[in-house]
Amino acid sequence: MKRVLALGIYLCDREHLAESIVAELARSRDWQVEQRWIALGTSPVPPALAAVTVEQVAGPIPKFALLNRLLRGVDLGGVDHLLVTDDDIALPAGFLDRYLALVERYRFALAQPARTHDSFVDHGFVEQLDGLEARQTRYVETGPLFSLQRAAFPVLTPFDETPPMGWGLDFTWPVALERAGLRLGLIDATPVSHSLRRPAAYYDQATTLAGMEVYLASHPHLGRAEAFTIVEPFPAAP
Amino acid sequence: MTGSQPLLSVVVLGGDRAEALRPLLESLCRQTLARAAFELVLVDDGVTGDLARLCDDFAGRLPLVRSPQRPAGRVAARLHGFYRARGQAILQLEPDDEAPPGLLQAHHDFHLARGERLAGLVGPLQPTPGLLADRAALARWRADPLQAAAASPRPEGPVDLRACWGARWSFQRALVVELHGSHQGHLTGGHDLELAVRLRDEGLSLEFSEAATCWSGGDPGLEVARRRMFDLGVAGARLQAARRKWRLPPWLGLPPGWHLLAPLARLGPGPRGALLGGLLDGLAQGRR
Repeated sequence: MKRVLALGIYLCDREHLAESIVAELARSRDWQVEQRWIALGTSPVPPALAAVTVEQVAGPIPKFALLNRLLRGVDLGGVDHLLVTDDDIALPAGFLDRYLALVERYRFALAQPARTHDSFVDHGFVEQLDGLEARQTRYVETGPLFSLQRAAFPVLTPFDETPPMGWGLDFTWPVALERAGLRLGLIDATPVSHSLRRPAAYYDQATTLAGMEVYLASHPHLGRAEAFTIVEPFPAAP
Repeated sequence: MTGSQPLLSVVVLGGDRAEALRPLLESLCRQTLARAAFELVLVDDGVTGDLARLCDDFAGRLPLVRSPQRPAGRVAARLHGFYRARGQAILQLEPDDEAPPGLLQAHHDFHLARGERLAGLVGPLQPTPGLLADRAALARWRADPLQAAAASPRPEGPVDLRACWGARWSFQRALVVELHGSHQGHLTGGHDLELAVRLRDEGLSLEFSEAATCWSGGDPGLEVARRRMFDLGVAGARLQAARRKWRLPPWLGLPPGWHLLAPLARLGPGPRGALLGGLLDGLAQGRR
């Protein structure tokens, strides 16, 4: 059975959906799923998450620094897909099996599920496009959930921690992946709901934005208009 | 955008029948603009008939990108087309339009010269030569208040989008793919109107030019046209409810105090009265 390593961070001092995410991922029939989560905050780790929580961190640490901590010492040799998730999304039933089947069918080295129409979105491009099953794109956002296929591990991991909270990575990733001959895309058939809280609700957006501008100034990247492009659409079945 | 990409993307939603697209495709073959300078993105959202064959017929003559999706409504198809387009600027045409030979050149040259994020170009909408020969169909076409407004002569230069949003206008792709953004889920069904409202709010600066004249050949019949006006009325009323400060009448070609004149307008003769009646019924429905 193929292996998936799921990495997640939950804010244990805030309302979150980590328990339902962990349970849904564990229900996969087609994949052997290992989960590694970090609890961010000082409240006790919920019992349902104790088995998958590998560390608790009190202070504010940027997301991609935490993800690199979760990856440290992990042998990715036998892992087929790396899945990275935030704690504030609702996954549809049977999510992982359907999602990864489509990721593999369309050979996306970097992918993410589209967002439901009622989700908070910073870029409408990631919202579900009705009528499509998936689309090869030049943009995949850094959250709330994305996945890397094995071929993308050496290109994108360990994650670049330069931009605060990862802002801007989503505009440099396509350049790196396309140079490596890899594809990225969105899966419209398995949209996730991102409506528990607004993105970036718990950190300073102005500082993060300024950091992103500095980061992009020194890294090859796409502009928004170039990134928000459908390279090839894959229609949903009638 | 790289140098190998066209500057202008013409986006067309496939419509109902493949063969109905043939006049438009033929007219696009006769453009003065070089083929390398534009692309045609044809969103196939369930077009009936042999669209594959039609596309094959034009494969060597047009830079045609057929982009398929399951039928999911005009909003989804439109967004699909915008995101699929590679051009710096987008011109939307309807499947029953025909393009005079200079249409694409006019839009291309405008955006080549201006290139600003908020720049847009619009020309008058005129009946196709075929429609001009059919008096009854022409009367129905002219009865549509949006088409009548779009056909009105006006001076070259800046124009208020409210007066001509039913015409064919082009805009920068960057503006629309960033703007559609987080609002997609709130589209009401009056997406043509809502897109226009949003682009105007964003500061779209529209220029009018006779050189950008487009021909429209749509004659759906009175009942379908009336239904479209009804839907537009519903959408307009919902938009108004969502945007309290938004002024509805100028966008729909209605005079001040239109609600007082409504009973009289319905009694107007011929198709004009029928279409206005449909619009007013839709507005009433949308307000409920």
